[in-house]
Amino acid sequence: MSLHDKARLIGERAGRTQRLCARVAGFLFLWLILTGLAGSLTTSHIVGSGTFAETARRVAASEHLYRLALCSELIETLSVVLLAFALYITLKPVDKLLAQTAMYWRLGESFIGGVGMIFGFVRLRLYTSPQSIAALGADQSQALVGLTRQAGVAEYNISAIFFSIGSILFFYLFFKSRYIPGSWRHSVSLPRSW
Amino acid sequence: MVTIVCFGSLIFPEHAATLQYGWAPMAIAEVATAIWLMVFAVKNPSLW
Repeated sequence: MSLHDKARLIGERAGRTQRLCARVAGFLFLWLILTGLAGSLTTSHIVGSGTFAETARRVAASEHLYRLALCSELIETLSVVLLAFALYITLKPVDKLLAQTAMYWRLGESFIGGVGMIFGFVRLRLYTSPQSIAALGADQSQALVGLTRQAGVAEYNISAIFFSIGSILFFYLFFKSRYIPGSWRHSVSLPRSW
Repeated sequence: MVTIVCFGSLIFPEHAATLQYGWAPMAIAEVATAIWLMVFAVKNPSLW
């Protein structure tokens, strides 16, 4: 086999890996939306509204479903690592350094999201543990739940900032590449005079 | 847009609910990219 044939084979194999990663990334985009929405909608449906005692009763009655929903959100957070890597492999040929930077931002999103999940499980414990409620009382337990909720909101926004910067870079690479159909690219690009 | 929305939510938490509408363009972009990647993958040997 000549050197040219070997180079062509390596190129074809790399192209196959890139196409596979692109399809995996596409699937993961939707998978993240589904698992994230399923988890957050289920937990908010269980929590509902009302006093701390009413909410704690509802959460305790559906504890396993609540845990399942939290795990669904955790799976979403973990899947971000796979998505970041799949997008990196897909866009590496366009600009390796920028693709790497974008991947790091998305990894940051995943790690901060993981910390947020800890707050979720702590909140569950506050709702369901009779010892905690007996020791702290309803008022203090409610205050602690509020505190973990505020921490969760801050975590969500900080994680989303990492997500947005990573996404801007990845979308810029898609735009810069010739992967996007030409007609669409030209319709959204600015005129040269700008 | 999402970056602005998130910084806005951190600085003005009282407007967080309104600011959440800023996620809409990102949601559309993500779903469109997902479908496009799954259907067409990438076909650009010229970059190699």
